Amino acid sequence: MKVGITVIVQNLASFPLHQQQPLPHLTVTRILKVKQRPRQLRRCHSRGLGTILPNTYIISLSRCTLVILHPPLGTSIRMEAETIPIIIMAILSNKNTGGYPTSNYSSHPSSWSDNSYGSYGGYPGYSGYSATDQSNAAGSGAVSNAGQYQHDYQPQWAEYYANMQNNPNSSTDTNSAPGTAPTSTPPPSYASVVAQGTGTQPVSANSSQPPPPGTQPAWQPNNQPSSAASQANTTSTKVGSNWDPMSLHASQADSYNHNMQSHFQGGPPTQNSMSKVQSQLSAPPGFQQVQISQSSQVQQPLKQQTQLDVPTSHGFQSQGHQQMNSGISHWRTSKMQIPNNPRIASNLGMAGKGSFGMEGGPKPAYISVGSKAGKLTSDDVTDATLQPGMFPPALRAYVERALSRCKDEAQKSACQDIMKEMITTASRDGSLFTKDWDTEPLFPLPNLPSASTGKDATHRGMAPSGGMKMQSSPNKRMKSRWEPVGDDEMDDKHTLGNRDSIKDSLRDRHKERDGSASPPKWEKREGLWNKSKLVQQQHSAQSNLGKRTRKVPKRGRRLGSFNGYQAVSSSESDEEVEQIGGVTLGALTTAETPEEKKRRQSRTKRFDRGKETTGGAKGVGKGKAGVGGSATARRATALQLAMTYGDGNGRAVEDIDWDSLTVRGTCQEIEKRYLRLTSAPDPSTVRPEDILRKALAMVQSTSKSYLYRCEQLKSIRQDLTVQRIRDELTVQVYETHARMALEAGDLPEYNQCQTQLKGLYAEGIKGCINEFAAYSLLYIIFNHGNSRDLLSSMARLSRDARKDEAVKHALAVRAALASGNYTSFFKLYRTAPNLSPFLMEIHAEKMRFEAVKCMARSYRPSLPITFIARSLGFMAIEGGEDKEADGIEECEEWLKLHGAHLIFDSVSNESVLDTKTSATTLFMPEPEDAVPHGDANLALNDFFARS
Amino acid sequence: MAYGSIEGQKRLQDYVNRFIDALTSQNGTQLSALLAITSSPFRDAVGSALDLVKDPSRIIKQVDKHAPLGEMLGHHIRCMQAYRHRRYLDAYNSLEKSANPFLQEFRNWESAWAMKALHTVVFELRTLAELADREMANNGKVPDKLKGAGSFLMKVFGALAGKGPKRVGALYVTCQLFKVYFKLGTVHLCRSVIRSIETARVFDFEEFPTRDKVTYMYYTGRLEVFNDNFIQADKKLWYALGHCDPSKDANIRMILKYLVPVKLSLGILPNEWLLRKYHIMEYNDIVQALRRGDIRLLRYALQANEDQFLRSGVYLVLEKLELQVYQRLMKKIHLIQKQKDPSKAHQIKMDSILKALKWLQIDMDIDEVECIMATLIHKNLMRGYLSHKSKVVVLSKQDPFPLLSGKPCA
Repeated sequence: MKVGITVIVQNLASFPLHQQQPLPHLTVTRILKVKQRPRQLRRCHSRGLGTILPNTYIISLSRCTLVILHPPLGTSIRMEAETIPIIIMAILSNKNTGGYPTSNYSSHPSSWSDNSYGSYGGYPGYSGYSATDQSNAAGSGAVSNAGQYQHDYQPQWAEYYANMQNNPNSSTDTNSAPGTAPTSTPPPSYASVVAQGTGTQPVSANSSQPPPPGTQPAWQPNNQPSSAASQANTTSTKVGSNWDPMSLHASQADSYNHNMQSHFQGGPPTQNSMSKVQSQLSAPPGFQQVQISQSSQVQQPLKQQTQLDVPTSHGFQSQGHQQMNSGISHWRTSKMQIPNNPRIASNLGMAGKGSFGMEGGPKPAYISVGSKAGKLTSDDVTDATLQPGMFPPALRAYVERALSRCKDEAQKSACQDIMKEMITTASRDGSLFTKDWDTEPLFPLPNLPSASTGKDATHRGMAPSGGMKMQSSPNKRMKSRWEPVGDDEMDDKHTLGNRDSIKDSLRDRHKERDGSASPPKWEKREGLWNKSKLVQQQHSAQSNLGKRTRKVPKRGRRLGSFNGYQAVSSSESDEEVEQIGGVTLGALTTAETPEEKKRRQSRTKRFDRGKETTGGAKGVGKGKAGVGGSATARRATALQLAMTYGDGNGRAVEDIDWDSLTVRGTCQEIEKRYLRLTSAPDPSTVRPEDILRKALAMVQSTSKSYLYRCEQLKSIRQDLTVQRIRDELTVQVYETHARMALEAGDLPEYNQCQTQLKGLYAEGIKGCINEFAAYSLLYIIFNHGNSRDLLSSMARLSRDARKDEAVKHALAVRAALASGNYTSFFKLYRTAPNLSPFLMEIHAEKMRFEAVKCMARSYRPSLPITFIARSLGFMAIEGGEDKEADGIEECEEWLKLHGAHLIFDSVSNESVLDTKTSATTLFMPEPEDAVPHGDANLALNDFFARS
Repeated sequence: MAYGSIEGQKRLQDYVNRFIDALTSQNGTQLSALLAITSSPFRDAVGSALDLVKDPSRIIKQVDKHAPLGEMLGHHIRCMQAYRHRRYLDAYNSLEKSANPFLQEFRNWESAWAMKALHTVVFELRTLAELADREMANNGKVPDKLKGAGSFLMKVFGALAGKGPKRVGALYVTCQLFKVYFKLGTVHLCRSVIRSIETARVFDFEEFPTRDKVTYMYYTGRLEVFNDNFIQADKKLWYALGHCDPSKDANIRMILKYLVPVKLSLGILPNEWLLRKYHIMEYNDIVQALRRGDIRLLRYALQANEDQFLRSGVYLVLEKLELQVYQRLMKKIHLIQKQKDPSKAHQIKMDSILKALKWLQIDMDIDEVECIMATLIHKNLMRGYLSHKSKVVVLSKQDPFPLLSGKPCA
């Protein structure tokens, strides 16, 4: 699977991804801008759109890092974006594979939920959607099924090209139409991402085959209802292969908007981009689409769909190919204010067409995807042997760069011939994929008599001066402050390629700066700003700024999505329902502040009650469907609630009586793996108290490794927590775990337990309070030595506790440590009660070293090793001969290891420490079990043993 | 009833008139007196008036003509009323509602004329928060008002800490914040405030009012004690002592409570009259133990005052004096030895040390004694060496017991 990605994010000119990471086709569909804090994310409006391609996946860019998650590949790629608080929503698509199997998708639900930008639904329900979609299409009078579509597309292309060639006007339009139009207020920052996927896109100019539909991004200017003429123009140029770019974006934006709405009702108006979904299938010659798109009939059915299938982006994968053709419909949100449906978009994507969509936000949105519509005509001259989708993205970019230099058709075709040659050669010698096309110098332009100037002029008849300017002085273009110098220079030298144009577009957020590199043209008309950008030769992208619709029928939408849930839940298997829930919740929580997350998490708890009741009623095990259904309903309610209370009213949610909502587990398994909850707990996997008691007994008696026991205890703790059980069993569990952790030297885990125990004891629950008070003291003494903590925990000891042997011992240890009295320390070490030795052991090494240093400095001339061994706890004071010998030997080794000089004293017939020389040579050796990550518990071997 | 209402209105009107007066004449002192609650001449009058007047808002609205503080005053008199009825939680809540608009308005005033009033509000906020917390704890609720007051004070600090004339008032708020944090046991929160005070080069520390400087040094000195940084602690507490109003015995006593242990650990012992004068006789035994090398007395003194020392946080400091007491003891043994046998003055047998300890009723075996001697030598409290074979401490002939004299024990 060949992929390429070019991402440009503000000051991080281009992601390293470009050359290094194999990725499925990535296209950015939507860019969100955030100012400073993540909180503002919710307020941000979608700024731009990109292409949508089939089988899209989501990429999200969190505050500073772009995370691309690609479940089928199982990879997630993070890219640091320095400090830009930008969020990019992107969609990965891979057309070659033609859609990932559902299994892939569903197997990564959690990851999705992590990364999804927030859409309501799950993927299931897609089928339902497509059905409706088709019916819509039918309603509009032009529906084609998959088979048809595939057959159709060639003719369409042909038609399109013909059109292009025959109709100069239309071609001009194409040129001018695509692009993004900034609204009046330029955003302070924005990012544009362009991705090119070879797999999906017929990159090369050489390919004789009509490009797969999916590859063509269409930019549709739909936000200007007023300018019918312009629309007509654009539509005509769009021809069959275009769909509405906006649909995907819009849909994404929409889902995003939902999100925003749900939580920020007070927020800025969500933007409704006016998007139309054009059915290419329906219109083989593509011209009809215009009418269709403008017919409002379509919208009504669509509206419903929209509501049903908000979560499209997720859904598309499960669909497979069948649905590729399904979605062709037109949206006009502008009038209807229909929330955009991501589903539709993905459908479209499935159909195999990429569309570049632009969403007009309340603020200007940009997409800097240049599509070289102008070259489209020449693209059909291609090499039949080369399959589209076989080229590396870099090559495509290269071709674009090359073509973008051409001034007219003749030149273009000459270029194409040259490139065809190059590519055939390259593919023959195998360097097609190995060559670094990004740095490959462009061949000199073929010198042709440019008889086509006039033609060219007509081509650009409507092109704004900006475009011309750019072309006339490409090298003098303003430098984007976001792009790195080196990169820039290189690009300047050779190319005015795609990337350049993108970068240019970055600069163009102010309309006065309109302009784009090379062929891309910018069109300005009164009341309508259209920028056209040419991304790839065969892409014509057209976009209009979505008209800002300030009022969104929130209620309807909310209900719609609510309905959507139920519909989904009824139509899908339980498992998927569960996943939907997960996805939904995950999605909802993305890009939220921690408090928000927390609040929402607590909200999700509501579901469990419902689950519990249904689950309980139906009995364990068999009632899954019921559980799922009710859970879904719950979730829907929660969503609704979340929406209702989303902004400012969150407190109402907090007032809910959690007691009545607490989970009661029904799981009867004693053993359970620990998995950190990412969603609301499912009662069927939570064990009730009596089972937990058995589980604890099992753990206490098992002879398995600490790692196993630790995991079991953690899952017990989790079950206790989610059921809010805080009694003596809880104390026992934590005490057991704390003891085991101590034995295993797992201090972090011990500390967690200790903290919990402190709280539990404070509530008056009985347990081994004194024993743990002693551990706690020792832990503080040895581990952070903060005298204030020590003082407060000492002050907290009750009279009673101070009489306890363990506590007394701990206090004595503290005193010994404070005065540096190693003799008494090691005496106490030997007599330590309970598990205290394990804690003292941690400090023993340090104490020994300090002691030897002290001895070496104060004793002269020598010190017998037996004395040292005795003082430093290497052997018991009263012990057998053997033991003593062992201790001495151990001590001797230890001393040697720490750089001590030992000499044999013939008088006393034993080794003695030469104190004077040792005083300067003592050192602390590196701990043997040191691991790079600092936690020996995470050692690789253990990890493997565990899994 | 009617009469009472009229009387109440009159009193309220009087209060509001004064308030307006103070606002228009920008009289910070008068405003401060009007806003005081715990020790206010107006509190009872206004509070009782409010009991009588049904709708005070008409009178209070007059304030809005001069500054948008009508809302603030409304809450403020409610606070007075609640305080008068000993409903401290309500009083605190009202005060917080009143403090917010006041701070808002204070931000808008260019000059710092109302600094005193703001300080009063800050002080009352903290005091009432403590009272409210006590009330809440008694009612079985989780007290969180002092914490709330802490975050509000932080806001006030933010309003003052910048450049300009208002900065002078920042240290007062800092000190109030210290009080809150020390009370809450969240002293780590002090760090950010300290940083902002100490790193600001725009404003010289000496320009702050002395009262605030002393308080500030006292608290930061205490923090240094927690960090075992005795030299810094000594410096700060010494500064506080030096600038403290000599007539304020209670304050001096508070400073000495920390300064004495710090000085002790640096080897500087106080006169008994000082301890007596400022009622810190709990240190007397410890000082005596240090003078005499009486390890038993030290242990006794520590045990007797354990709770107190633990609470004030000097226990660990005092405990470390043990080595100094051993040093003193060795010195005494050395002197006796010198009198008995000058030729062997520098060789002290372990046995004699053991004997001395036994006489002090300290039960110790010879290994431990060796260990203590080794530690003394190691920490440079004693010069010489130990001979394990012959069980003798050999002291250096030159200055065998070096004084700490201001340096902390290594």
